[in-house]
Amino acid sequence: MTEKPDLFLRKATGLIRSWSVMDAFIYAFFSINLVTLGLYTMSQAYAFNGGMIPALIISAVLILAEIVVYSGLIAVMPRAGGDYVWQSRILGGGVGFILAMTGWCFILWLWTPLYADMLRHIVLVPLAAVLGFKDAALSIASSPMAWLAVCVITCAFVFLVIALGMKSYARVQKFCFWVGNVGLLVVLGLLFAGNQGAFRSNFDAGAAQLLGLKDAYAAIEAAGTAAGATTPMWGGSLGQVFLLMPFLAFFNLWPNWGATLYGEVKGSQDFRKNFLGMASALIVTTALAIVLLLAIDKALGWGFYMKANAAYWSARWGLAQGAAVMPVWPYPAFLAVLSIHSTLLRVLILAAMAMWFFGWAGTIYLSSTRILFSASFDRLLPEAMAAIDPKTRTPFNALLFMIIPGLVVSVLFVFNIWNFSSLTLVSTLVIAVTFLGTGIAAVVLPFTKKALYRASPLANFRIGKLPLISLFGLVFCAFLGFLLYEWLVDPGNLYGISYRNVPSMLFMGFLYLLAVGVYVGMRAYRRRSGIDVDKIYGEIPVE
Amino acid sequence: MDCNEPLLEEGRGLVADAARRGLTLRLLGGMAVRATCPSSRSEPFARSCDDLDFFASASPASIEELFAGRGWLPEAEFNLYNGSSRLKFRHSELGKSADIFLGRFAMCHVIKLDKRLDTTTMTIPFAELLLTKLQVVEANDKDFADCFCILADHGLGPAASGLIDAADFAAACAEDWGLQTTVELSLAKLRAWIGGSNIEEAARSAALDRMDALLAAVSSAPKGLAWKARSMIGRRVRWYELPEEAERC
Repeated sequence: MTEKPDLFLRKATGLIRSWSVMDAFIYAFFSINLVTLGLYTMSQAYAFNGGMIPALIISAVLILAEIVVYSGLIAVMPRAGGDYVWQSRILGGGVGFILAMTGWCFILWLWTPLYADMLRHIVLVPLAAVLGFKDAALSIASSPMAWLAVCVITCAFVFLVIALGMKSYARVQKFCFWVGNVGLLVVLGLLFAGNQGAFRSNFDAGAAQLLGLKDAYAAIEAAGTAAGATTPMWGGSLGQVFLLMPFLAFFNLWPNWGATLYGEVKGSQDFRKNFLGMASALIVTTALAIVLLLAIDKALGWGFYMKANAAYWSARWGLAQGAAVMPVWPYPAFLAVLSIHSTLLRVLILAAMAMWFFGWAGTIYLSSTRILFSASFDRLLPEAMAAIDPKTRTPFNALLFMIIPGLVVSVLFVFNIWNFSSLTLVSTLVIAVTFLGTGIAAVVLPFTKKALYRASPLANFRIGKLPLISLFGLVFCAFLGFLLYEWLVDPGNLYGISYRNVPSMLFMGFLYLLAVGVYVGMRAYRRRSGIDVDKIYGEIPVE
Repeated sequence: MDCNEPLLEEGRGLVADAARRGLTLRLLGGMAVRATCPSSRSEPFARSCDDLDFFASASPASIEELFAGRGWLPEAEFNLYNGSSRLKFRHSELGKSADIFLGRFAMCHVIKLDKRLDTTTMTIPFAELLLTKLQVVEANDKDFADCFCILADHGLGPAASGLIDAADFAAACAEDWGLQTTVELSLAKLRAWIGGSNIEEAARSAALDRMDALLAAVSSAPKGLAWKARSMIGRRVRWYELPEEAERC
């Protein structure tokens, strides 16, 4: 008799999800974007005493706890909506809705002018300068109207890439990932091949030719010293190093940014794959950051780089007297290309580096749309929020819900109405509060949702008698607790968004009240329509 | 009456309505086999089908409109996230679901189905229908039974004559080393399954002869550069996707 072949149990219809693990890795890699978020926030942290590299390393180690938490929750419930679904099902609907809406949607309005600020300083200003449009470069770098126009351009670009759909967006990401990394490799090569003596003469010549500045190097040294540029690359006590982390969190707290999308990622119920995807993004980015800082030190001198940052930001924040000696943001790629004289090469390198922005820009609203969809399916938002245009398959309503308030907040931020431009780190604080909710959900999951936990692959991961996810959840919560204390209490007056900053408190209060209002209002409205949202929260949504 | 008849009738109605609207909709899967293979409707192959599978070459919006017009409700959340390539509907009266592949069939392998849809009116052509069954890496009894019915009931020849077009079958495999590998493995498993099953001799013999002919066509079809390059890597790297369940709760 013929041998019976191996047969498998297979359900009739399966699904090939839109994103591979590699796509999720690239999304995580771009979410902790070294060139945009990393350089932008490190440049602002110029007046500390803790070493930048130790702070990068220690914060990355602590953020690994976040990755364990998120990888675990994704494996237990790989649903679109991420934090919202987990918190609402583990901690309760009200908590989940309020924290997810504020941290994944409302606060992203504040990120709109920040993304646009990075677009102008990383893409538009350097390209305009090397192409010989000196006045345009200086105007884009300093004019609020130009910044506002860039906010509109940012929103339009993000709208376009999200409208392309997940598969096409993954292709855009992949292209930007490879081209951007080639660009970074070239920049690193230029920096490592240079030296500080050559840089000084190249910088003075380049600044004069491209920006019309005279003796820029010496002027920046003086202005940077006066502005109090102190942050070292290495060294500092552990306490001083930790004080840098509330700034660095703006950059590296987000390897989990794809959490709301994991319902669309292949194999997302595999804890190890989720962990590896996010952890490798964090580790690679941290390593790249260290290499880039070493290259900057070799070519520019760390001290000069920090002074240039201090000169730029102190003038922009109105802390320095007189005209700005550094009228454009000290973008290391721009400084690196001053060592070559071919305009074409300069443009090519800066254009390749621009891919760090374009591959990343979609992260501003893409994750938010999934929260809006999930809340809409739970009936906590109008059904129209999850509507898709039948022809283009674009979630117009969800995108408009993000873009229109985003542009309103941009106006407040760009023109510094009600001191809004001091709220940069609020963008991180509100999300950290949401992450704290998820951290707590992770801690209690094995004890409050026993059946769900035991049925998941996560039940196999324990340290001693303690569930892995609870243990790492505690570490993550402790880290977030430290960050929140520093931001909100800020004993050293370092971050500018503490309780002493009234607009900061009012803005955050407004966001939370708005979320509470929507929750209470929609719940009452649904009850009148005969829908009990508590019952919805008692079920786990389908994939 | 065949328990599948009401669902099959609905499937035929949908295909006919689609044609009236100028849309291309074709049956796939078990119900396509039921519609075209007499042996699938009698023992030992008769079985009930729980859903309708379709391939559509049309916009998602037009398909949504078509199904809504016949009382099918969209699975809103699934369609939101996957609607550019897949749509799902549920019919509360029939208690059945419908699954529509849009533009391309993507499961363990991607199969281009839109090339010769003009040669058929109800289902996709038999060569492609067979491929959609043989591309399954973790095939089960139902898949093997469906493959056998297609092979036993339909001879080889041009698709336009309503036959299994060996040239089309081979051409699809020649474009994709991974697909060919899975198809060859599936045919070997099918051969063993037929050997272990209680099947009438004439049908068994016809199916085995056609399998041999298909394998010969696959083997002799000229291969492209991409196929050859992928063949050099071989099975050391996984050559297929494993579809995941879309609903597990």
